[in-house]
Amino acid sequence: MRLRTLGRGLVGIALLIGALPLVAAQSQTPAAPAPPGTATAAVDEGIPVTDPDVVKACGGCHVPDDKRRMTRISYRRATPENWELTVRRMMSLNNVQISPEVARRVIKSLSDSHGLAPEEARPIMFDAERRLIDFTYSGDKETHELCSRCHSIGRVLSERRTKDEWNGLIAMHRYYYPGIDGASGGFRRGGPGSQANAAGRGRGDSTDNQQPIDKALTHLIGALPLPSSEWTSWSAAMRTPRLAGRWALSGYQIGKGPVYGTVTIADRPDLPDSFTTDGRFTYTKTGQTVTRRSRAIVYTGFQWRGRSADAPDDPGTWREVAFIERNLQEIKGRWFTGPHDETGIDVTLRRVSNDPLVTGTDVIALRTSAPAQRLRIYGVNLPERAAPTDIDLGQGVKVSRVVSAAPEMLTVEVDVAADARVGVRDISLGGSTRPAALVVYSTMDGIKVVPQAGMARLGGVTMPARTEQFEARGFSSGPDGKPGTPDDLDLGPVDAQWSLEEYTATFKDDDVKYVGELGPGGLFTPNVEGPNPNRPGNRNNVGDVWVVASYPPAGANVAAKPLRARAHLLVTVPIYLDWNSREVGR
Amino acid sequence: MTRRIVGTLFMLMAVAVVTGTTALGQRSATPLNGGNGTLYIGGYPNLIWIIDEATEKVVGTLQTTSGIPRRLTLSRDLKRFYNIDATNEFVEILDIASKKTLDSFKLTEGNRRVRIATLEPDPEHRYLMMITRVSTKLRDRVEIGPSELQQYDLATHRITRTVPWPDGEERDQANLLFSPDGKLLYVLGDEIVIFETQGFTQVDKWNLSNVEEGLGQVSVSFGGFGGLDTVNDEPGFLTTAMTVEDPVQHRRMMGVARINLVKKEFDFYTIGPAGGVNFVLAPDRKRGYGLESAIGRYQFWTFDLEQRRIVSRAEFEGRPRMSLKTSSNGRLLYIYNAGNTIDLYDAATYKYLRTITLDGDVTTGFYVVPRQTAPVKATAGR
Amino acid sequence: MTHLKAVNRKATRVIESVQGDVVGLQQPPVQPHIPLGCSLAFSPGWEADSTGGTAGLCQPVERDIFDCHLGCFWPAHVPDQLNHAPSCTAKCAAAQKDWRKLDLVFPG
Repeated sequence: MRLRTLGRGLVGIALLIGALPLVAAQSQTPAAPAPPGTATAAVDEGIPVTDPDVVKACGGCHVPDDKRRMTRISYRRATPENWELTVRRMMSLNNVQISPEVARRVIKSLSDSHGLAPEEARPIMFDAERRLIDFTYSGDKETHELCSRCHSIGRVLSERRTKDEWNGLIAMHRYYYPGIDGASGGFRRGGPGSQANAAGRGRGDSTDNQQPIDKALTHLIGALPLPSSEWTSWSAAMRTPRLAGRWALSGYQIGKGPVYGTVTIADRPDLPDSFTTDGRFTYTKTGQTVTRRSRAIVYTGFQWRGRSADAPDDPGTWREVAFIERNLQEIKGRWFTGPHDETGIDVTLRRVSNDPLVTGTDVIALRTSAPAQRLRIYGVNLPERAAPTDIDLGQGVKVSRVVSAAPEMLTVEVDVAADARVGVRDISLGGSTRPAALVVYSTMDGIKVVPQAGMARLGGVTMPARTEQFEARGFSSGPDGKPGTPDDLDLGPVDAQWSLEEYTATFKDDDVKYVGELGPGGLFTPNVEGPNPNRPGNRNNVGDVWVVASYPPAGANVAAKPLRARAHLLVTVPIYLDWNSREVGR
Repeated sequence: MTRRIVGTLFMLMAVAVVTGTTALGQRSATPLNGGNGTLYIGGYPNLIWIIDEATEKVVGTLQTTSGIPRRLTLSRDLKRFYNIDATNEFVEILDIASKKTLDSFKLTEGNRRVRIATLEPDPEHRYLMMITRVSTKLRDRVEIGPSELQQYDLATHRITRTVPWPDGEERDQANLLFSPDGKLLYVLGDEIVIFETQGFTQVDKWNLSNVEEGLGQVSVSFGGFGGLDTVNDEPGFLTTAMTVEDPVQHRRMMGVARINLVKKEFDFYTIGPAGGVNFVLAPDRKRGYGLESAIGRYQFWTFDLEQRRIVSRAEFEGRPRMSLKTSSNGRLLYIYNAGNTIDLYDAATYKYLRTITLDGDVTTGFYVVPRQTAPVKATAGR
Repeated sequence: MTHLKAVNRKATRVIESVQGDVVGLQQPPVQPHIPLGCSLAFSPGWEADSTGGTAGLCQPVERDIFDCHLGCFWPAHVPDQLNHAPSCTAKCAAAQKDWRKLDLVFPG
C-alpha cells in the first residue's frame, strides 16, 4: 500500500514577518498529510496557542510541541462561526466531551488568537450575516463551483490554512463523506479515460488530467495561506474595543422600510470583550417603536456578535453580526431572526458625541416641481431651533418650513423647483452631513422588485418554513433617460399590488396552485412540506413562480397603465440539517 | 353493482384484445403480467424482498445480518447474492434458495476503515475481486489511502493480492466482470482493462477514445446505480449502451455495444442521435428498452437489435430518478427507484398498468431473475 | 425567414427581433441562478435542478430521502447515515408515508 508522503516543505521561513511568499503551486498532485511526527517541514509557520483553557480542552488529541504549537489548530485561522463548526464536529464525531461553557471559551479564544484580520473578514461578512446574496468568488471559478456544491463559498473563504492543513481539510471531507469523490461532490473523476466526462462539462481539454479536487487544492493553498501581512499587522493592533457610550442607529428592513433610533452600549464586567446594549428604534413607515436589549461579544477585536436577550441565560431570538470599523466610530452589519435567519435589518451604528449627527431620512426621493413635500430627518442632537435655511439639501431644493423639531427627528416641508438638477443629494444640518441621503428625480420611470431571485422553503409541519419578503422600489432612469445604466436613481420602496404568476418552465406547469401565498405587503409564506396527495405524482408543493408587483405612479391618471416589475421565486424543499451558529455570541 | 363490474371487465378485456393484436403482433387475451420469474430488491432496514413475478406479491424476504443492504451483486449462476451494506464496509453472501447467510466479513479493523466500492465474485465462488479504499482515523487527523484492486480469498478470508493499476492510474469506480470460465477479469470503466486471472497480468486494454480510426471518443455506461446486471445477456457477453462523438462533425450518437468476454471482442453499432438513455436488454436479446429522462420529459424507447434501429419512442408520465428493467417474459417494463414502489408498464404500448407497493423504501438495485428450468451452469463452456 | 422580405417598418422590426432570437438560441446556455448555499450537485438537485427550477427534483423528495440518507449524498442538507444521523430513518420505513417522523438534525 502506497500512502502518498509529503514532498517538499517550507523549511526555515522566519515566522510571520513581512510579506511572505505564497506557497508555490505544485505540478504534482498534493500529498495527503503524513502521519504525526513526520510532518516537520511546515511547522515553522504555525501560530502557538497560549491559552491554557484551549490546551486543556483540546490538548489530549492536539498535542502541543515545544513551541506551544498544537497539531492542526496552530496551522489554521478562522472566523468564530467556522471555529464553532469545528468544535461541534469534535463533539459530535470525535467523542470530545466538554461543557458548552468550555466550548464557548475555546471558540472565543481561538477566534482571537487564530482569527481573520478585518481586511480578510470584510468580503465574507455576508456569510456570518446570513445574507442570501449573489456572491461570486472571483479567485477561481472551478474552485468556487466545486466547493459550493454543498455549502456556500463563504465557508471556505472564512479560513486560512497551511498547505498540509488544506490537504487535511479535504481528507476530512473524504473520510466522513465517501461519496464526495463521486457524484455527490465531484472531487474526483472515476479514472483515466474520463475525457468524456470532462468534455460533457464543457472542458474538453484532454490533457487536463488533474483531479478536480487537486486543482481546487492548488488554488486554495496559494490564495488562502496561513500567514498574511494583514494578520500580522492586526494581531499587533488588536485589543478590546472601547465601545461604551451612545450610538445612533440607522437601518433598513426590507418590506418594512427604514428604522432609526439610538443604542447605548455598556461594558460587561463579568466577561472579557463583552457588552450589553439597550436601545430603541422606530420604523418610519408605521411609527412602530421597538425596544431591545442584547448582549454581545467582540471576537478578534472587530467582530461583533450579539443576541437579543431578556434574561442572562436567554439564548436570544435576534442575532447581531456586525463589523466594528477600526476608528471605533461605526459598527455595521445585520440583525436577524427567523428559523432561516431570513428576516433581518441592515444596521449601522454611529458613535454619538455632543454634536449634531444626521443619520438619514424617511423618504429618499424628492420630486421636482413639487412643493411642500414632507420629509423627516433623523439623527441625534439635532438642533431643536433649526431654521429652514439651516438645512441644506443642495441646489433647487428649499426647506420651506420646519414642522416639528426634536433632538432625534426633524419634520420639514420641502419645495423642489422645476429646474432642480436630478441626482443624488447630501443633507447638511448643524455641522453634520449625511452624504447621498436622498435623490431628486423628475419622473418615476419604473419599479423593480427586490430580491430579483428569491427563495422560500416549504415547512410548517415538522420543518421550519423559510419565508421571503419582497419589496417594490421605484426608480428613475436618471439624466441619460435610459434604464439600467449607472445613473439610475433608486426612489425607495413603494406600496405595490402583489401577485404570483406561473413561471412556465415546463409544459403543464401548475406551481402557482401549490407553492404558497403572497401577502399584500410582499411577504411570501410558503405552503407546508411533505408529499401533497392532491398534486399529480404526489409531488411536494415546490415550484418556481414569478412575483409580480404592480404600482400606479402618483399623479398618473386612472386610465394609465401601472408600472410593473417581477422577480423569480424558487419555492423549494426543506433543509433537514440545521448548521446555524448557536454558541457564537454567548 | 355486479353487472357494472362485469360490464367493465368485458370492456377492459375487449380493449386489451384490441390493443394486444395491434402492437407488435402480440396477442393478450389474458391479463398482462411479467412472467413467472422472481423479483428481488433490497430494502430498509435489513432485508431483500422476494416478489413472485406472476402474482406480484411479496412472498418472502432474505434477511441480512450486516445491516442495510446497499449494493447487490447476483452471481452468474443466479444462486447467490453478494451484498455490500450501506456503510460500504460489510460484505454478506446470501444463498437465495435457502435464504440463509452463507458468509459475511469486513476488512475494517479498529480505526482503519476499508470501504468497498464494488465487488464481483469469480464464477466458482472461490474469491472476490474488489475495489477498496482505506481511510484511517488517527487521533487528530484522517488519512485517505489510494483506491486499490484486490483479490479476497473466500476460503481463508484474506486479501491475497493487490493488483497494480495499469499505468499506475488509480480508478475509483469501475465495474468488474469475469468471463464465464473465470479466466479473464474485465475492469469496465471509461477504459476497459482485461486481466488474466492466474497472475493478474494485464492482457489487453481498450482505450475507448480510439476504438476504431475515425470513430471518435466512445463512452460506455455500465450498470448505473445498481451495478451490472447480466441476467438477460447471453452467457459470455455483456450488452450495454454507448455514446460516441465523431471527430469530423462532432455529432454525438448513441449505440449499442456488445463485449464478447471470452474472445475479448468489442462489437458495436450506432443507432441514433445521442440521448441520455438508460438501456436494458430484453430477455429475448432481440430487443432492448431505453428510458430517457430529461427535466419534465420522460420517454420509453424500444430498440430492435437485429435491425439495429429504434422502433419507437413515446413520452409517458414519469418523474425524476427512475430506473428501468424488463420483466422475465419481456412483456412488461418495471420502473423502480426511488421510494417504495415498482411501477409496471406494458412494453408494447408503454401504457401504465399498476404498481407494486412495498412496505419500505428500496435501498439497492433490482433483479428480475427468470425461472430456471434447467440448472444454470457457471461456465458457458464456449 | 430569408424568403420573406420586409415591406414596412414593422415587418423590419419583426425580422430583426426574430434574427436576434435565433442568434440568442445559438449562444451557449447561461448558467441558471442557484441561491447561495443551495446544493450545486445536480443529480438531480436538492433545492434546484440543473435548470435552476424544481421540475427535475425527485417527485416527491421523500421518495428519495432514504437513498440520499444512506449515501450521505447531500452532506449539508439531508441527514447523513454515516455521521450525524445514523438512525434518523429508524422511525420511518417508507418516507413518502412516514415523512412526518423525520426530525430536524442539529449536528454537534
